[in-house]
Amino acid sequence: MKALRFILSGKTACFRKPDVNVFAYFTYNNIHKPALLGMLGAIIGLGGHNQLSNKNRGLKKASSSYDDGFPEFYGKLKELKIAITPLAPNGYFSKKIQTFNNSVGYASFEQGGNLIVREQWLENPVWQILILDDESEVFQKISEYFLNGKSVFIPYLGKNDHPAKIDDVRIIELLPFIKEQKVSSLFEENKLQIVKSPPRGELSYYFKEVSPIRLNEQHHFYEYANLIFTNHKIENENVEDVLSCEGNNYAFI
Amino acid sequence: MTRVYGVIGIKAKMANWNADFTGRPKSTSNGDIFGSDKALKYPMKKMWENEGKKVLFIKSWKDEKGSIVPNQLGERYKLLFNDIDKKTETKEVMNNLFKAIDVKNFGATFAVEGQNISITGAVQFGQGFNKYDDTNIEIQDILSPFTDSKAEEKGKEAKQSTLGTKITVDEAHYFYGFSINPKNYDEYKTLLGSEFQGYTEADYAEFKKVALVSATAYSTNSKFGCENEFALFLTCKDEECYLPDLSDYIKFDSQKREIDLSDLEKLIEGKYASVEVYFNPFKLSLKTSLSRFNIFTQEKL
Repeated sequence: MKALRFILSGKTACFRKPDVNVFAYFTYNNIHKPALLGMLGAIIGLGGHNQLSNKNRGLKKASSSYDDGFPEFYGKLKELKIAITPLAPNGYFSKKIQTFNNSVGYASFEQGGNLIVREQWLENPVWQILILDDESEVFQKISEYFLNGKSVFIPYLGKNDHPAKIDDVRIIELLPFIKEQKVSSLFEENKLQIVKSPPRGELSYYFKEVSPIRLNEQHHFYEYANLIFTNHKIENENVEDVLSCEGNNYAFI
Repeated sequence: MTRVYGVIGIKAKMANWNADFTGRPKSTSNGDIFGSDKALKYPMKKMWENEGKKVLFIKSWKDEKGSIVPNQLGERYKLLFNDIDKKTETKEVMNNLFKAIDVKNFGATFAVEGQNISITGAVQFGQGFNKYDDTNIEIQDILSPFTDSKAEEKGKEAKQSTLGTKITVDEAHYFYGFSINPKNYDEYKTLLGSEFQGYTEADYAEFKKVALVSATAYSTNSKFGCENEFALFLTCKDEECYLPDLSDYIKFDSQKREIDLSDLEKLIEGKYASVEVYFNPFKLSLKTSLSRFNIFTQEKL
């Protein structure tokens, strides 16, 4: 098995949580799968939510030309398996709330016409991303674009004022899962069992985040899973979608 | 028009380029000072507006029952173009939006009843981080000519006028990376028909002009002392060329006030058709083998 490996980083990033929109907007700690697929789609030039809504503009839901499918990028990329590894101590990036004034007046119905936007940003986020080679055409296209330093649209981290830096692109060879070792990437809580005892000679850490994992078929909003990042070992003897590279296990989600 | 990447450098001397809500320069949690993309776009839009060009996303005022209040988005649109309601064709609205020079460059989020349009602009900026090592934040007390009007309410008598503060940095050098991707408008070419040309060389020329001078031209109390000191424009060879935020690859020597582009040159090797570097030759030195221009006269050095 092979995979495309690259390092994704930026000075700042903001992957907005859609569940809070009062007072401040918060960010997820890690890039999540739908956002990553969106970025890959942008790089190879697939349409997003905006293109879908432009296509369906003015059409009734029942009409025959109405496209009730996914945005183009998600329809084509949802089968890809990816492994995300936050490259920070304990998998945690520092965050700060940044404040903006929107005083054009017509952006809101605030008194005095001034809208204050508070947005939490990740600082200096870095991830290692692996994309599993499923021998599909779309994987071929993605690896061609990455390996040759090309992109149709310019990739960013959550919002377009946070440009993404892509480094160190290569194809790597994957080996079977290494038993009784930790998983070096984020994994789904309900798929793997970890041992209770902390790793020897190390302080244990356990990071858990409710993270978007896929898009809802009907309404295209997020569906969630608990993602874990820990240095505790894995108890399971046999696991699906966990492979290793250079002595580290990676869970493909 | 092929893809362009670049950097815009802004110097602030005893000025406050972009303040947060405490009045201090915006910063990250480890104290790095930065300016937002909005802070850079504003003087650009102001300059276009002063030149009499159509600028949609800027504050404008109306008289409402004797008080002066800001316009709503629909009203601003009406001011520049024509009437708009739920039945106005989206195509017409889009065509009009692209006539505004700020929308053509930076895009728009246009939410008026019945019309919900979101355009990703061809020009996108990152955050402008300060690369000067010894930036100090200066807080000065300034005297107000008036007494505190609240003192009377509290039952006290104010005998002195009040104090305020003015916060500046002694010196900072902000560097913004940007990209111009004409492909962002390909979709609209099919939606709007042959009338719409996409992002053109003429649009780029307008952008380049404000990218070189707008911060220098814009002077308010807090931004007097902010000026354009550096700009780099890289035209790609291949229209699908990916480059990261170029400001990340600029080295700035705080002692010598010297910009070193050797890392950047390594990164872009073989990927560009042309590169132009504009800088202030009186205050900065520049280490590069790329073509150099004076940022004020725009003459080749």
